[in-house]
Amino acid sequence: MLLYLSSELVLEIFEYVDETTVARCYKTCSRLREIISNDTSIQYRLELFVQNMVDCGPRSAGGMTTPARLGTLEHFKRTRTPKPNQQGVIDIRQFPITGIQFNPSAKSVEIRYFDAPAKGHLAEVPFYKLDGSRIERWSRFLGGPSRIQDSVLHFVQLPGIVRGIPLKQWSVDLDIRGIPGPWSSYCIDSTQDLLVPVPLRAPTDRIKLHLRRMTDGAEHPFASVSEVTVVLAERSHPHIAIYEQYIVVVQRPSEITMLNWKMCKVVKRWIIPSIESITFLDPRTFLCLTVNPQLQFHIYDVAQEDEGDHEGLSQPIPILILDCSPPPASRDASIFFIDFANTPSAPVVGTILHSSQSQVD
Amino acid sequence: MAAPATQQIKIRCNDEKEFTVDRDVLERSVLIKNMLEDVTEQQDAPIPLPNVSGPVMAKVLEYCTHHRGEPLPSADTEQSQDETRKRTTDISEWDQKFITVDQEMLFEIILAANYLDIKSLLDVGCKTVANMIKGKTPEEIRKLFNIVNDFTPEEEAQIKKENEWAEDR
Repeated sequence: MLLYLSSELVLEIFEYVDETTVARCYKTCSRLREIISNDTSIQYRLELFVQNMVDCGPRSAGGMTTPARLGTLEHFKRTRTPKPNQQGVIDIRQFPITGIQFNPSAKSVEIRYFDAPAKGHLAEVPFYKLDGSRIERWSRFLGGPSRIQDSVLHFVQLPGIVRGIPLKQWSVDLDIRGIPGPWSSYCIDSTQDLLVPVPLRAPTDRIKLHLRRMTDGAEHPFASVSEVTVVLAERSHPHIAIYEQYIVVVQRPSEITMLNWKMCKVVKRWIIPSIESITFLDPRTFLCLTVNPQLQFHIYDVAQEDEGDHEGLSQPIPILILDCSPPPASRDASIFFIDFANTPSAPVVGTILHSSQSQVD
Repeated sequence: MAAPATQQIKIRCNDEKEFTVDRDVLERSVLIKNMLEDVTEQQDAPIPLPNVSGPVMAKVLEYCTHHRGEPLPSADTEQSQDETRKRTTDISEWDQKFITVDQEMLFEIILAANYLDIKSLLDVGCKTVANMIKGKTPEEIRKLFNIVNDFTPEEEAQIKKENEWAEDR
């Protein structure tokens, strides 16, 4: 019956409903979902609610009184102050930071550090990764070949006070889930509930990528098959990145393979010399960091036509190159920030910051 | 009262049902009020209301008769309501009793109030629906209004990610 009403009338009813209920209505059917997502004023309301903010309106129009405004502000400040469930400080000076990576699509920051082991000595070091409000942990051996030591990935979902998300912990045991190791790393896209363990480089010229759910390690329901084989020309350990339906396998020094994981189909095999890492800016464009001879960011168009073709590989032409080599004086720990405007075709280099290790902590 | 005898107006619903009502009662409806202002001469022909049925109109007239003589909401008060954004769902005792009807009638009243432009009645109807869905889970809302869950599993997963903050966990 509710659906007989025009969208205007449905929105009129929502005026009297709290935001949590509106969000629940959003989940009932596509009509209500459409009505809610097409109305900016209700979107504004929901966003204010999530941010724990109140639109007071002008004082003259019978808005909130000053004491009420102050109360709201104080409440806002309280909920904004982080209240960690468990407090702990990691003294990063003990662990030289080996890299900081920012992934704009996943809004994650990854900090890698290790306690440099004595030569030839294997040290098992836990690695932590903060992704949104989730902490991931695994341990790996250092000093020998870089690989995951533990077959269990541990996850901690940090509690969100404003959004009412409880603290949650779970683990995924890759061995039990039938994904044979050893692995060099893993890649996660939490918005798609996708976990892809990255195997160590096998002696053959191909690797298997398993498409699993992050929440329980089961086969991912959206993937047409549960594992996909990728042919690799290079000999180094692969690194992967996920963006929507794409998985990109990066093989240093110069090879990338892009596949559609839902269809389990290879879309591109490209040569990008001296590629270090890759991240998507939007579904059409991605950014590569290349290291030789200087640090450069290259931006490529996914849809670009392939020209030359040898062994199924072609070399794409970047639509933009940004040079960002550090000054020779700076040491190994460096952080780069690039601020991209909305259109990837017109990036703006906002801040490029170099810092020595002492400045990082 | 020295006022002239109340003018009687005839209206005809879409099921041919006719009502003869005091003008001030009918003028709770902004639609009819404007129609009557446009007509200068006394007319005998009933005003056709093609979007309202007899049983619903009877209910609407019950509301209008009870609230006759109350000031109509002005554009200004509506403005300030929008500004504060905090709308109460309180319904007066009489209105509460009046609106205790089956779901079909409730939605018919909302549609009629919207068509006839009776702001206060529309508010009562909307508040009632709001009170029905408040605090309910998506599944309960579907059950309440016979809504079919027409999402694909993929959309379902997407929605779950989009607003995790409303999850019941």
